Amino acid sequence: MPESKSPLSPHLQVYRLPLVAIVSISHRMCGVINGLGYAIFVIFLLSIASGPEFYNIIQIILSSIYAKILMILWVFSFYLHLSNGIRHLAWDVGYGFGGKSPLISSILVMISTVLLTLFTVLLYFGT
Amino acid sequence: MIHGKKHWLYHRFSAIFLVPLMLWLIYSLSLINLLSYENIVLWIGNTTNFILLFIIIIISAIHFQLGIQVILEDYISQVEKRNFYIKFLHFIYLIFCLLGLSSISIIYFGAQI
Repeated sequence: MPESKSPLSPHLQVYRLPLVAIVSISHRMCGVINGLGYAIFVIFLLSIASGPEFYNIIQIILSSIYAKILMILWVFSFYLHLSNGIRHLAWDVGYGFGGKSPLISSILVMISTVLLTLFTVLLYFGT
Repeated sequence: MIHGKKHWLYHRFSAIFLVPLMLWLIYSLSLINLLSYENIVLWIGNTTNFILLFIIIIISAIHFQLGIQVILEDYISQVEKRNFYIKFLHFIYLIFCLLGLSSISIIYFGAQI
């Protein structure tokens, strides 16, 4: 089979990663997790379209503690991808490269992810 | 499959559109009780919600297809194997996108009657 000439990305298990690198690879991981969340969300919509009898099964699953934990993790993963995505858009137009900027923006990404997740969780479970 | 400059642009533009749309979706869904069948049917039955959800399902499928293509290009060096996985995942997400669109259409038009 023909091998492509572009180099492979570094294998992640080998290094102890700095914060900037952790946030960076989390972006891809969360992207994949969000893609799985998309599939689950479509199944959720499908169950509603199938009528109340089918939705009852989803309802039992959704009301379990595991489903709630998964939903919170998914919201967290989504907000991390969104916050870091905005940072990527800033990088794309040339902002945020010099000196400590990548480290500061990594910390900002983490803070915004935690705050947005807390806000959504409190809003959903508080009402 | 989309390559190069076009891929890069589509990926960024889909991201820019998804930021406000997804913030709205999560905010809007966090206000209703997802355990109630009637609540969700009423929510999708609202025309504004239906149209925005329709757009989100399409754009996020495209965004995911573009993103997963970048990851597979970075981690699979065998070109044939890589292209197979990319096309396979594109196909899966096309199916999920169509399932999502038909589901919300059934719910929306069902709720109008």
